[in-house]
Amino acid sequence: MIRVDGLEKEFGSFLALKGLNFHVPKGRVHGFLGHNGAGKTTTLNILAGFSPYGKGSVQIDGMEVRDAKQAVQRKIGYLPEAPQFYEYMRAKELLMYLGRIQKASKLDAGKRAEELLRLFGLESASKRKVGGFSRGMKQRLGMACALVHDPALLLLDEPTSALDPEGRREVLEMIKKLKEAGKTILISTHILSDVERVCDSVTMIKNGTCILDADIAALKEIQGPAGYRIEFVRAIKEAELHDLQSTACISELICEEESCLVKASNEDSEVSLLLAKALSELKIPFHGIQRQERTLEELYIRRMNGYE
Amino acid sequence: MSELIWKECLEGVRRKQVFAIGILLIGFALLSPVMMKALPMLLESQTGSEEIAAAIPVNLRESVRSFAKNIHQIATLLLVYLGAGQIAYERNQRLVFPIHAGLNLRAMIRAKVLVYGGAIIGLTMIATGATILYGMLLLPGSWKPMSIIGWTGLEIGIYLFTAYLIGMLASSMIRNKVLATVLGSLFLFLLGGIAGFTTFEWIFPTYLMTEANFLIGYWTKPLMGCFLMTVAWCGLMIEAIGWKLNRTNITMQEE
Repeated sequence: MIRVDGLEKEFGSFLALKGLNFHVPKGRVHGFLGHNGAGKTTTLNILAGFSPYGKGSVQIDGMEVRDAKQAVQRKIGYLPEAPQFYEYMRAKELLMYLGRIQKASKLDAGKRAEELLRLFGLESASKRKVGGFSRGMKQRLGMACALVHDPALLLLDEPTSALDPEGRREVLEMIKKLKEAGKTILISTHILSDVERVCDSVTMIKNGTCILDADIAALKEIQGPAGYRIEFVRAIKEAELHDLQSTACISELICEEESCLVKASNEDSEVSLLLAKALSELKIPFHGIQRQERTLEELYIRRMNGYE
Repeated sequence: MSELIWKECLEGVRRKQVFAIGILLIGFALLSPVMMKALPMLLESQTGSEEIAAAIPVNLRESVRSFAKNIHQIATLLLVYLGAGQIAYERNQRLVFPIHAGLNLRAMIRAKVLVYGGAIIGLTMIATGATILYGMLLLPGSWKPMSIIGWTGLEIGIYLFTAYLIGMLASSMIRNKVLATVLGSLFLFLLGGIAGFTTFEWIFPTYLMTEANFLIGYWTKPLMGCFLMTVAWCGLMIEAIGWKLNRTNITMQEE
């Protein structure tokens, strides 16, 4: 559904995207991860046909975006990070207006608006002006607006970032429903647990280039055995733990002030015991050792900080 | 097109833009004859000289001229701001959903032009009528310029509509609406200055205000030429706004 090859984008002399590559097959929910300023929103704006690009190819359903902008835009529903609406309109009026733009009759546009309001739990607010909506309601209305023309592809930019836990859960449930309905969804987000909950695959970008493009399930395999977090009594330097690294069960150490992530080289159940023994021998005081399951967050931090 | 016109009407009414234009124009219209009537008395009380006060012509024609002058100076600026504000409001991410639903930006501009152009010209004609009729009640003179109402109102109205379009054009090129208003207004006043120095003054829309000051209630050759030229300028501007918006990244927030 989405194929991006060697994409480059310049803002003056600054190269924001440097040969970005990734692809998303039809019917998948794909996470798009990266730090602030990594180029996520730039990429989404290019995919949505709102921003021109230099070198490279961006194809949506086999069509090059720069050559068939309008046809591509009709296939896409785009929810920006902070969607803006005509605040003076009522929710149903807004959805009907969008429906009427795509040449639906008044009756059909009304039916579609009601259907979407029901789907996103906004029926009771259908006659309220959008300007008075909460952030969560606006986010849900934004998704409804993005779906008015029944697009095959949804681009969601930070859809849950400003929501409370309840709002987040609702939006994620909605994404699952849309996936079941056969939509292809690209989600740009910082919230890695959300990606783990709803995404099938993920692309990580850093400074405008792709550093990882893989299936979520395959990622856990790539990461190898689980890690162990050691909480120290005081701030610790990596050099102090040099001797610990020579212990057979440790393949890697990542220190963060008063804690340290230890990557075990195997799934031996004795690892935490061996670690405790080694730390005692080194006379390094610690509060505890906790086994850490392999999470996307861990992989993200490792990739972004160049540990892999 | 009907849904776009409906949206613009709704926006004009609910954002109270049409009321604001109406109140501004009618306010000027009713205030001009009152100020004209009170001016000699004010001058006399300030200077203590009856001669200076008597030297000021107090009649309907002067009152209408004063109305046109006020409109030229203040309403022009506000209408440039209205045009600039409307485009800034749209391009501030609000077009994302409509464009994906299939919105034609040129059609949207045409709908705005139809709705707001109609409102600006119509309200200006009403205001011009109001200032003349109210002036006839307040001020001396047997002048009955009923035919002038339509002509003068139309001239001022079309000029103000041009100011509104210049605001839209400036805002399609400059993201900041205040800066767009300042540059749009400067451009319009500069145009007036240039027009005054040329022998072809009638090719500029600013000539409409010059004609409005003469209070002539019939066609003249330069006026007809100016109407046609203004229509051509407006057509060009409408196309330019649509063309520019089609090439603008409308996902960026206003600065």
